[in-house]
Amino acid sequence: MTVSRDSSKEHIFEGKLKEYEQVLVDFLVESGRAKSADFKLQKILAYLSIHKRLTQKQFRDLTSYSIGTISKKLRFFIDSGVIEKKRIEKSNEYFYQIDNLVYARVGNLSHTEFPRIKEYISMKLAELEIHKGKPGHELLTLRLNEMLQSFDFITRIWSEIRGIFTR
Amino acid sequence: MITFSPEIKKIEDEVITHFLNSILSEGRDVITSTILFYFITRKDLTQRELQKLTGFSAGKISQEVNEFVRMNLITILSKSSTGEITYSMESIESEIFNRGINIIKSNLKWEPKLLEIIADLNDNEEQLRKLNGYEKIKLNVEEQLLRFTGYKNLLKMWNVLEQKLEKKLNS
Repeated sequence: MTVSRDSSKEHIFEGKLKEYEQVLVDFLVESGRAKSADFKLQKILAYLSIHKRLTQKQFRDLTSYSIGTISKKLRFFIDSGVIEKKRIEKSNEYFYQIDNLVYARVGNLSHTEFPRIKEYISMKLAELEIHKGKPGHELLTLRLNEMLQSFDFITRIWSEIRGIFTR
Repeated sequence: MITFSPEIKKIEDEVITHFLNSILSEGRDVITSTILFYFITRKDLTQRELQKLTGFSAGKISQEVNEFVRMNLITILSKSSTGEITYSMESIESEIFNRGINIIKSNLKWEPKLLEIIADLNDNEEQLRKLNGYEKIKLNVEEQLLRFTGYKNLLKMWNVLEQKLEKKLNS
């Protein structure tokens, strides 16, 4: 899909609004820190959350990161399905935007991915039983069982969080 | 630290690799995730033991472990006569719980500032609209404030769950 070319300075906010943009970025980055998220990834996502769509050059202007770093971080988000890459009409340049359905999709992902992880853990617990009595067996079995039990709790919380972001 | 038999160690390695390639690690640095997963499988660890398990530098491990303690994901279990600290992730459910609470509380701390911003944007709309960025800033602040309502409801639910979890751990 292609769209009209963006104005080159649209992403540079002015005066007080530039300060408020920084507050929002600080908030969003700190929110990511609480989730142990990568700092640069979180900063890129913060700017995209505010501006809705940006080119790589615009990201560079805002973050001061190199194009190489920006490209790598954006690739991570594209591969995760968090953002989309679209071509700017009549140019070789692309812009990036957050996929609005990402939270719904991540929520759905938990319904498919979590059962798979639980199945994997159950399989490993069965493998562990073959080595009963060996050093580490008791501890690893206990911890994996605990992890298995915690998934119901995680799934419930995840649904609540998804609801917050998809309203 | 218990020395796992080669067979058990192999299973542990496979589990950690699987977790690192799963949704459990998304958006998180691989070093952070790896250390977290070793606390899940091993429960109690010193920084030296973590270095032996992961091969990461002492500096990086120290940084990550201190952050985990700050976020209440692990606690200090004991200190040896030589000063070596053993850290513990007592309960996996508690870890998930505390991480969730940290995220919510960390976000809600910003509510007063964002309310201040939205008040200024509304009160001085005529002047501020002339500057580039007004609509985008206003929209984003409004989106965040709307989410805060959801966070507060989640916190209420969390507090109820925390009491149930405490009863479960103490029983």
